[in-house]
Amino acid sequence: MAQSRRDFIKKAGLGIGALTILPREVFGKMGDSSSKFVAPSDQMTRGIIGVGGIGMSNLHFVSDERCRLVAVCDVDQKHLDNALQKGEEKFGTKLQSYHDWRDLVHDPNVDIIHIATPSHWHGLMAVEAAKTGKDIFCEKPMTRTIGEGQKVVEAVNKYGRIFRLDTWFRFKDTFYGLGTTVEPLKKLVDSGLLGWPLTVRISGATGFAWKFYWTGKENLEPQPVPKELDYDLWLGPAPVKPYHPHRVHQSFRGYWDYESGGLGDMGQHYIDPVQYFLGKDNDLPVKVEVDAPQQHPDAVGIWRSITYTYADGCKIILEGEGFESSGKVPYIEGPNGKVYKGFECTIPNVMDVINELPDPEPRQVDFLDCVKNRQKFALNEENGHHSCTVVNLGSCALRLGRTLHFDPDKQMFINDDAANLLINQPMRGPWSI
Amino acid sequence: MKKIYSILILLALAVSVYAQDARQRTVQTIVADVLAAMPAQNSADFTSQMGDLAAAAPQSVVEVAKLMKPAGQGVKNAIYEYALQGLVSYVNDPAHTAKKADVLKGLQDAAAACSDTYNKGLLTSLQRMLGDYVAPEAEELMPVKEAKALLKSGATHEKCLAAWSLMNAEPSKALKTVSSALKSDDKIFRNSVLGNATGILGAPALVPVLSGKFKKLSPEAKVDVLNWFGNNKISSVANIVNSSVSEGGDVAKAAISAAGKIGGSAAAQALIGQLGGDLGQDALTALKSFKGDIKDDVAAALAGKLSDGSDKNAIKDLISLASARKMKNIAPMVYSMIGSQDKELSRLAENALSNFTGVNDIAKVGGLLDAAKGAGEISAYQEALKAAVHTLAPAERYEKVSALASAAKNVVNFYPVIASTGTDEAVSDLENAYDSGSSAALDCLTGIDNYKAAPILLRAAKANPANITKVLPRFLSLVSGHETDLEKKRGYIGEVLSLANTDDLKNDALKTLANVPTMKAFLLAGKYIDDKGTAYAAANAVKNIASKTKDEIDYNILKTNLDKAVSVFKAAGGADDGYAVDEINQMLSKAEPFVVSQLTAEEKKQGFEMLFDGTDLDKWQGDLEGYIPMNGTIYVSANYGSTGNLYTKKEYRNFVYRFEFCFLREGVNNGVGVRTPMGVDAAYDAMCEVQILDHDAPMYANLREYQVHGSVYGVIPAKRIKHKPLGQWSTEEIRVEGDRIKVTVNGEVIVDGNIRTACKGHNVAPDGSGTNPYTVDHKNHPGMFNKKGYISFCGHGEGLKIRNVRILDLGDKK
Repeated sequence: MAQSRRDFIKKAGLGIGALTILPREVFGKMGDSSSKFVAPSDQMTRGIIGVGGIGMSNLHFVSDERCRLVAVCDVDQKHLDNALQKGEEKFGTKLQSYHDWRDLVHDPNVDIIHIATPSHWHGLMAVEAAKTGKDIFCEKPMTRTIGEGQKVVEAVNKYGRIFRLDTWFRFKDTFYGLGTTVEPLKKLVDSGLLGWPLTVRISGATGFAWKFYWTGKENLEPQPVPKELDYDLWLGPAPVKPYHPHRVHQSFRGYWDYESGGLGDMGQHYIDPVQYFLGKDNDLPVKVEVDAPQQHPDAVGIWRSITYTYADGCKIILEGEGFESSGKVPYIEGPNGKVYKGFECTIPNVMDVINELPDPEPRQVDFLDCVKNRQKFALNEENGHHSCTVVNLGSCALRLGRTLHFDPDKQMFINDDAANLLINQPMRGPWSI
Repeated sequence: MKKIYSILILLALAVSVYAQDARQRTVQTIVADVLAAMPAQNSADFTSQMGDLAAAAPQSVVEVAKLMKPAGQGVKNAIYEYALQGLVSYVNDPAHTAKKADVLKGLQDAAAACSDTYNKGLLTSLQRMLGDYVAPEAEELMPVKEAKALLKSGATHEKCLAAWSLMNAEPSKALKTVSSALKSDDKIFRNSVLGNATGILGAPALVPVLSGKFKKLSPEAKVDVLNWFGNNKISSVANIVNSSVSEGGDVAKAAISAAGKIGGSAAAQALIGQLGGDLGQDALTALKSFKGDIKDDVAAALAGKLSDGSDKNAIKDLISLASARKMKNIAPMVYSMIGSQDKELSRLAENALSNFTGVNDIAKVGGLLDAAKGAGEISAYQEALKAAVHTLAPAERYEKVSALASAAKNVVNFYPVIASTGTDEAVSDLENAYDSGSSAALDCLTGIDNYKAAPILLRAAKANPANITKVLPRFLSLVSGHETDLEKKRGYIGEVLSLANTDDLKNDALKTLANVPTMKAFLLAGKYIDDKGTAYAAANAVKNIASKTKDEIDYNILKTNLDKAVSVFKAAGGADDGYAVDEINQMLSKAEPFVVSQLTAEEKKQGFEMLFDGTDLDKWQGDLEGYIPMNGTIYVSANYGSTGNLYTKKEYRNFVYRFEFCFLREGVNNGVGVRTPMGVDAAYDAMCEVQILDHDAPMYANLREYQVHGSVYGVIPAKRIKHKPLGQWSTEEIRVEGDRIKVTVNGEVIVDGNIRTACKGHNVAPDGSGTNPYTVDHKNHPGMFNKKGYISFCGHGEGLKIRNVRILDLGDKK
């Protein structure tokens, strides 16, 4: 089996092996000038799979002294050409490029696999990356099905990997229109001042948008596949459907085969911090209810609301298209108090109370440190799988158009074959997870 | 005979070919009825439609599937797909499983009969959805022998896998694997085994091994074990953890973090002991999140350190910790530090004071603030006083602070605190001070959360350009937070944009504008999209406004601006920029271009000229803000008066003028100025104004006859017509030759007269007075005999649309 680059270096007993390593001056400019010199053997390397959208963003298409981008992969030759050109402009070097992601995953020069593809690939790629001894940086949503998420958790554990899911509101930044970071919310919820159970409303009225432009189109006319695109490898484990440009690239989210529309796109961003401050990182809802028009088997449609209920009575309510909450809508509502946008709270001088409370327990928020110290990142395969499961429970209920009951321990729907069939969906051969 | 025959046929049909439901519908009818209702918009409809379809299964399934065609141009399979998927979901619902087998059979039959690959694929996948759930098989563990070999020779991740397999195969031996892993120099492997053993055995089972072996471990392994202790909150190893705190280096770092997570009074003591030292920051982080009450420990430590006074770093860390957790019990020590000779200590205490003050400290802090000198000191006491009063209601807060201020020697020191009360009185106090020349008061007005401050800020910006960047950002945020009238909001933001002298400020204004969902705001934002410095904010604004506004926006303007926004977002290339592009593309795909008006063949032959075909107002001048091309029409929002008019660029003598108009709301008022100079009231200073008026609106019940639609205002009343309903278009023609004027609406002549004879030649009162007995409105019309002039639209507010404006210029000929 292949060994990882750093294994190799370690075994060679020297910091410098037979590998070509860029003089640090070239990329040193990208790093923080005050940072210490990083020996080439300590500098980590990263490869991105999927350089059409998020993978090309200034946030991710970067190199610095601690971690260097060395390889890119895409099934669209145009994307790949763009990435190579951008790599030359930005880093003054030619990135290794791959058409087939398996070749990138097996590249011994890559330590960290950055998965930036549509989400029907995430689970498969993450498992394969773990099997080849890579650490993983995966874009949200974590996986398209609950079953794939379970496989990722298992593989990461088995192979001793570090996994980071890329959304961040559980540990930094004010999230969307809510106007506060998660920290004071966590302290307030932990204080018990609001009472229990709590209801959280993720709604236009509380500062969130469900991006219903990620809906799919019906009655698509088959179109010729552009010559730069390997459509078969783009589809991978997904069923074959006639090509149409709306199915791929920027608009893929509108099709159940690949994701679940705005819910899939934004759901984990919005729900993950809620799981955190409700203290439900190891818990899941027992019931999910939907109010939506009938869904098409292929094209994702809109929905009016999705309501999750936990065993202790806590609820998360997603308010979607045409859902008009009247008056002022609380983000968090408990028997003894409410919190609105901008951390406006019905409890007088609530900040005074919160300020006297201890901060939430510190977490590891530097992914590269985690890779080095082998500590779990703040948002990892476990809590990431849980918040992604909340998202996926919603899409299962939407697709089936009815209320579903779930067993959080077994991670199975209760006496419901149809719903359970959505947990582990078959992959198109030869792909399997 | 005939009757019996038809009954026989019906019977034969019912029995042999078609099943019927309770309502005597055939399967085809049921299918047609259900398909017509696809997709169901709510669950009640869904249940009723699918109930019908299920009752007729398996035939209904076959019938629906038969209707599907291979995907292609114009093929619309969606309703069949909805029906089939819906049916499967319906019979999958535990409440309606009775017909599951029939639906499955229908799908099987349909799939067998289907020759199109993709449709067949759908039918097959639907069958699968009706199957039983079978749990995936668990992967087999690696044979022990193989795992043991791999554990010796594999790469790191393979060793991890091998250990995982072994521990799962023989959990009773897992602790041995842990022990040996702890001796490994491979950090990845150690942590992997620790984590997986915890998953298999549970954390408590590992504690004896980990604590027993701890002393002998390498420092690197100690770090891992300490991390593990902390993450699993093992309180029974507090001794090991707390004693490791003082070991220094990475081990101590890990111990500090673990001690913070595990807690307990010994841990608190150990951590407090680290404050001021090399790992003081780590200890501080741990203590800030330390569960439990550590107030007294901190106070005791601080008292100890203060009695000596030499360990400044420790004092600093302790104050910082007490500040973070608002430990009011140390307030007396903080006050005593303020009085200290040691400048460093007193500065430290000043800056921290705001964390410890309450209502009982108001007078004391007020005194300190009045006496304070130097910016740092003053601002520290201002914060402290704000904190001391902040739990009071605003009125009481203002009362306390203004009492202190009026008795103070340095009243300026109190301005920011007055501002922080946010009351109307505070605004007026500060306004007075600003008007008497205090620039400090103006600074404070920018800090006040009260909309009454906004006009003062705008005034200050206009009075002195040096104030612009200081006050307008705040003005914007006040407008954004408080102004509810969207048109006013846009107006204020427009003022900021025209005053702004930096891109930062313009961009701020554009960000605020992005939340004003009106067509006019869209146009305003679009003006800033070509300028590099403001392009991004303008692009965001046009995108947001276009997605939220309920106003109509001209397709060409919408497309031009959104296309520009797409280029801006693409060039920026951030993650959300990709989303922005998608959102815009979605909007553009829904927008539709309008039809451009054209002259008829006959009009062409006669020599008509198009003045407005829907695309632009290039042949027009005047109020180009109040008259905007919009999807093939002129959208009018101009105000009444000499400025709210739209004029032709050319002047005319005799002409035939044609246009179409439409009222968008009741009571719309406008008019056509004939032979008018610019900037006057056409009703009097032009040859005439031909009324455009929704005279059917109840508000015009008492209208005079010379005011109805089409009237030559005040001179020749028109025949009263009944207008078409709101939103429908009417045609109008105004023919002007010499003194003659003829008005035709929807083909009906409603005015045909001579202005000179109408007033018997007296357009103004012969006696030179303001009352003219010869005109119907008894007013003077000095412009009536103008020989030439512009043609205009004379606006009286919103709600009129005009299109297809064309003219036949008859020149001098009569």
